[in-house]
Amino acid sequence: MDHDVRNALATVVGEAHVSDRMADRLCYSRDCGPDQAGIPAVIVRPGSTEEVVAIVKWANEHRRPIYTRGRATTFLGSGVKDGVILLETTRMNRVETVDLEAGYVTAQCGAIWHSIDADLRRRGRELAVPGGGGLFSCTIGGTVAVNAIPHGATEYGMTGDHVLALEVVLPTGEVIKTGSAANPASEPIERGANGPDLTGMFIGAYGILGIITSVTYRLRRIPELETFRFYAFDDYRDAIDAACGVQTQDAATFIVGLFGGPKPAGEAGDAFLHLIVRDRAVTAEARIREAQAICASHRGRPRPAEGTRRYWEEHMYSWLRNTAPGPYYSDRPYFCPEVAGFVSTQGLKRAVGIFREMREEREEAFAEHGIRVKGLDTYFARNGAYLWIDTLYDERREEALAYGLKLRGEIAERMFTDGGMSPGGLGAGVAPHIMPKLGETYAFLQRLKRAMDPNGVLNPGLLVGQGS
Amino acid sequence: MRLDEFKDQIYSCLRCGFCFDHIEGGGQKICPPYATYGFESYGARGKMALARALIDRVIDYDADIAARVFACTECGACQEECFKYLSLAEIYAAMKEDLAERDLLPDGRRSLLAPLAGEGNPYGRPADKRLAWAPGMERVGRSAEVVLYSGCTPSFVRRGIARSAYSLLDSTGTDFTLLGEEVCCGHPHLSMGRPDLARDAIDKNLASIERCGAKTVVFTCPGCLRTFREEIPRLLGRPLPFEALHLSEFLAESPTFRALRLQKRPRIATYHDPCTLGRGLGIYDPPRRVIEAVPSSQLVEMPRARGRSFCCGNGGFVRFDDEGMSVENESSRFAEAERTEADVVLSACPACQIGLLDAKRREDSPIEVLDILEWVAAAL
Repeated sequence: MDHDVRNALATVVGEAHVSDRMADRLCYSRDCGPDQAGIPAVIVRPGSTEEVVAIVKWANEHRRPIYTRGRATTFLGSGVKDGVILLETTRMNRVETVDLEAGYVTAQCGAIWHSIDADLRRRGRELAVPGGGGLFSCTIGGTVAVNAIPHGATEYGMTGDHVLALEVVLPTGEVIKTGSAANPASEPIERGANGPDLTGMFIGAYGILGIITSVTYRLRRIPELETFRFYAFDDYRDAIDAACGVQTQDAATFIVGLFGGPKPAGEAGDAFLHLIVRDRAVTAEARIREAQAICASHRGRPRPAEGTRRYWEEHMYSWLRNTAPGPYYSDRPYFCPEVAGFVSTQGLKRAVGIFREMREEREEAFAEHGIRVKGLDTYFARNGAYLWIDTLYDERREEALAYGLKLRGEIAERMFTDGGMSPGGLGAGVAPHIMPKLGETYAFLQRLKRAMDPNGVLNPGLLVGQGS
Repeated sequence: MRLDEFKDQIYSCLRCGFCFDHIEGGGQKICPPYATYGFESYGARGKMALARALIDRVIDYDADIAARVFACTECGACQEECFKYLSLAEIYAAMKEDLAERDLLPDGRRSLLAPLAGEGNPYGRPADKRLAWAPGMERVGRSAEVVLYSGCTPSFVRRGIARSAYSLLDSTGTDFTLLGEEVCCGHPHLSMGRPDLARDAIDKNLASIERCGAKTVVFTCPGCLRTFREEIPRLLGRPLPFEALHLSEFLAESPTFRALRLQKRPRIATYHDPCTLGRGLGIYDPPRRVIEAVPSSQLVEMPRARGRSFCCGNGGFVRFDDEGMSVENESSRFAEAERTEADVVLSACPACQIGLLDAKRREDSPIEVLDILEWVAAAL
């Protein structure tokens, strides 16, 4: 039966781009996170939107579920089930248009985010948010589909904020374009054109409502000056108040806070803020002076900001703790059942307090299962904070994995309720703990999914699979 | 299972996928088999997924896994980019040993074993013709400070490299000798997961070198060099009683080489870093210094150079089993060299030169393909 699927798909994409060999299928199960997943029956690698359409139509006709995948660099859980079709997008990696005047780039979904960005940088531009969240190998389609959190969010906002237009293959095989791109005579310059914001419907939807095949993304001119500051605080509430002040006064482009996990090398204190200002030279200097004054007024101690600069330039989280990637990452056979989400800036005090409390309550269990806390790090957003609660378990120990996943569920539920946190990334791992609690919103999403995907072929079970 | 020794590292793979793409270079693939086949199982992340399934006893080795593991050109690009600094080359070597133990060697690689055992070279050429390239026998098998280990490919296939090495050592007044009983260094055996079969060759070569009393052995082939510099000491559990150098390292440090009055060659050259020499052994500058010793020449770099050089597609003896993959990747690398608008592409590895020459012939390109030793020797 599965060999028939392979043969059918081979007629669409060619023999070289489809496989039902176990040696291939095994490699398309998990993402970077801790959740186990099934093994697909067939891997298919389309090279064009037309091929994606043909695959989706075949899947509808034969009621075969499809799971989509770019580079699978999320930590959220792929949700792949046994025996499904796995559609992998990395052959669709062409950058189709770069329009520096109109300020956008259009790329096929499988183009690597950072490669697009590196090319733009040679022309004095960059993608409008840094890093696109995810890891260096993330695709632009995947990054938008999960609405990954950028490497800094305070002034520039979230990944999804800068998507101008999408091309999407719907679950039933039709192709739509969103925003001004929906008009064949227009260019993909404005998301707010041609009626409702259909673009937004696919951002963060994890591919359940359609397969994003092309993304048009806003560009930014690389600012004239980048400057960096680093502050230590003896009380995390002071750090949060300082961040709130900097945020309110628009005094920094990015603020990253550390409220737990290992302290930065050579530093003492309870919490730390990294500040990055990018602007025209005159404005940047004024902003950083203001940020310094705000931090000082909240008892922040200025510290050397070399780690801040290295973090920004290399996008390596280890530098947030003044540590090079090698020693920081290389000795860790550890995985991270991450819980992350948005809270208001002042609400962060409560969220940080809750996690610290949870950790104290579980001190013995943490020791027994070898659980570490990698970080309680925060990207301050425009009007809130995105908090990462990163616990680590040793994947070589089955009981540690079980405890790590149980702990993730407990943290997610407690943060969602008492902590007022709304998760950003919602893959197969955290969604079951959160989605059913969304009430009517969840019910609506389920109805929307059923209406758009009547045969349930696209990523079934993800986000809306539980609690119906 | 030998692979079990690497459980900690295998479990440490983050699955980040840094091992797939050259991010700064426009997203080109860094791994030749992955560039050709596109399925993750051919890249490092996929092979780590397979390794994990193997040590967890979810699957067992089979021909499909063998095809993927033996498609590796041993270029080391994945290890260079690895976010977790994993010893991927050692893990692949362990997988090869396990596959060889289960009689799962691919046919092409298996076919090398008989000529290696019989004639001491993978080409099956008569052992007594190994030094047929040498201008005379007066330097063979005598006591000397330096041994020129000629290697199988320069001895039988790319003799211009061996002759150039000889001329350069001669011109610099080096007291050197050739080994009368030289045999293959053992690199093919190690690459096939058969270190047991490499021992004979290693013992023979070490005995020959010992008889010459040499303090230095120089190599033209990075594969031979790495075998002597890294693999043999590891296998024997002791350091070698001589220094093993690539000839470019020897020349770059030689006052007599620097004093040579080489002829002007007003040409633009680009240099392809051989993976084993560069990423493998960290030798990036000596070849460039040797190239630039030729007056009036200009060295231009390819976009992917040094640690981010792209493999020519011929490492790890993959051509014996998958010529199509070698052809595709050598063509890709040759095209990159052509785009520099150099009129000569240089390498420092006979296998790379063979691949690049093949690409040149297919493309009917006017660009010349030389080993760096041929390049310099032509200016003597």
